[in-house]
Amino acid sequence: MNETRIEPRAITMADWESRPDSLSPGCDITSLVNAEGAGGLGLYFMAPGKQTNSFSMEDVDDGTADEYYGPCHEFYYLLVGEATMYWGEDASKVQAGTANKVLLKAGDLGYWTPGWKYAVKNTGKVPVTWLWGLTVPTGGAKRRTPSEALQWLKTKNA
Amino acid sequence: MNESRIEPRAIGMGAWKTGPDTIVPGAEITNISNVEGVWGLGLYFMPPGIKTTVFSMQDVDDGTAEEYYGPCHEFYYLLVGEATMYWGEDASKIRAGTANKVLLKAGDLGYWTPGWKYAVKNTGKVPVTWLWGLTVPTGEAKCRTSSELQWLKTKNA
Repeated sequence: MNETRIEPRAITMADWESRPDSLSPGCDITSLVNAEGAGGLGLYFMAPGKQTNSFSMEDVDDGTADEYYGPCHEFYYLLVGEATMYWGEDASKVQAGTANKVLLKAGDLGYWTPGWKYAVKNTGKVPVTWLWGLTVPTGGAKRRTPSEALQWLKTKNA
Repeated sequence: MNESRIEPRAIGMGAWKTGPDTIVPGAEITNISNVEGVWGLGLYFMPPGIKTTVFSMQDVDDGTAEEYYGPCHEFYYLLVGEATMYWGEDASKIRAGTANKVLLKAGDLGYWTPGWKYAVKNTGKVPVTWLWGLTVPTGEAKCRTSSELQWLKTKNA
């Protein structure tokens, strides 16, 4: 038997650490689970009209996005409200909202593939909430993730 | 640039595949996203009093669980209702509901770690719904799964 195994558990609201996203004023981020070598899960809360800064999940960090995660797979499962994900290669277009876009409404799953830059905006009329899941990136690139909630990404690969 | 990359997308209800769970009468399973080598994501719907069969996420398949996934990480995010996860090493205790247990209510996240056997029951009064996510198992384990989770098997056969 593998004695390093961890016991399964419930992670309820009392266990959650929720805090303002230091990079995106008006947004709150909650980290629920960090599974070593697998990924992280949490919630995100965003007021109408707010937009995150840009984050890159490309193979190489070209330095133009505000954060660099490395090539991860990410999903958002929309619980409440509506959000638009802007994506592409040009950070200025992603930030300006003139890049490609994907609209998500409550009940939709957004699948954010490796190889692109992203920024998400609440394009609805009510605060939006989603569950996010992010895999540990492949490869050894050096991450830039100033967000406190995503330090686990950085430490896996620093 | 990596030209094998896939474009991001929304997967709305119109694109979901949903149907009865062939090994759990009364339960419905929805596959939303299967990403080769990474994960499966979907929804699960279960009436009150119904319980799944036993599935193992241990390193080795000892043959006592109805399904064997291999060492995966799984989560359930409870959207509606209440469920109890029974877990341990002894499939008969899990089946009988006398194993360790974890209660989940709407809004709770259940994290099912590799190395154990599991079965989940709707212990609430209303139909329960959760979002599930399952990572591809590590190692070379040979999976035994229901038809809805064939994507797990094909990664490792």
